[in-house]
Amino acid sequence: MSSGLINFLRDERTRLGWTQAELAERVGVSRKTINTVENGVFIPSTVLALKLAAAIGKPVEALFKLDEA
Amino acid sequence: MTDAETADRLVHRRARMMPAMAVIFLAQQASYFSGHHPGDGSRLVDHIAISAWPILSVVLVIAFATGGGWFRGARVRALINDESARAHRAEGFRFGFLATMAAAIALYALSLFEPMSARDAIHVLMSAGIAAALIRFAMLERRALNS
Repeated sequence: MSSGLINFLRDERTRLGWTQAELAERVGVSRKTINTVENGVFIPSTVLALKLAAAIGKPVEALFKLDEA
Repeated sequence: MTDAETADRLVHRRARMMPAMAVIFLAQQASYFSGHHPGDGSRLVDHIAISAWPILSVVLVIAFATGGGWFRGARVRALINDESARAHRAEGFRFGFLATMAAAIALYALSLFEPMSARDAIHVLMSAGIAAALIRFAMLERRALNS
């Protein structure tokens, strides 16, 4: 489930000074889901990716990009 | 305690409980196949022995399919069954299906040499499917919690 996607969610979250629990609360998912997305264990759906981007205040492309290496 | 904290606690508890329930379920099957079959159902103890297994099976299937948290509010239930939990459950269902098919093929081969009752075959198939699904789901949840 972790192939092909690089994410900057942790960087953006810590830049805002939020904990995983705070971001999870804003998006409406569990802290476990935020943790797995940040660690690349779980690739979020389009809906969740858009919710994360909206909560962070950045376009979704700033949070996720394809690993083209 | 907030809904998020309650959900977090329930997710941890579920990840611990699922493998334990799978082991208890399999141990019950081991007891069944150890030769102590319930009688013809005429005694009260036979009724209990015969009905305990399908009841536990149904409870486990419903708990797995719904994710639990039945007596919690809608928000807590939504949090414990969020996107990653649903993905893990889908993977658990896939493993359960494959395990059931593998068990069915094994039973088919075995039936060519050894006659087997329908009840015994159903025990094997359900044990394989339910235990595989529960264990796979719990493994993924624990990995997610520990990552």
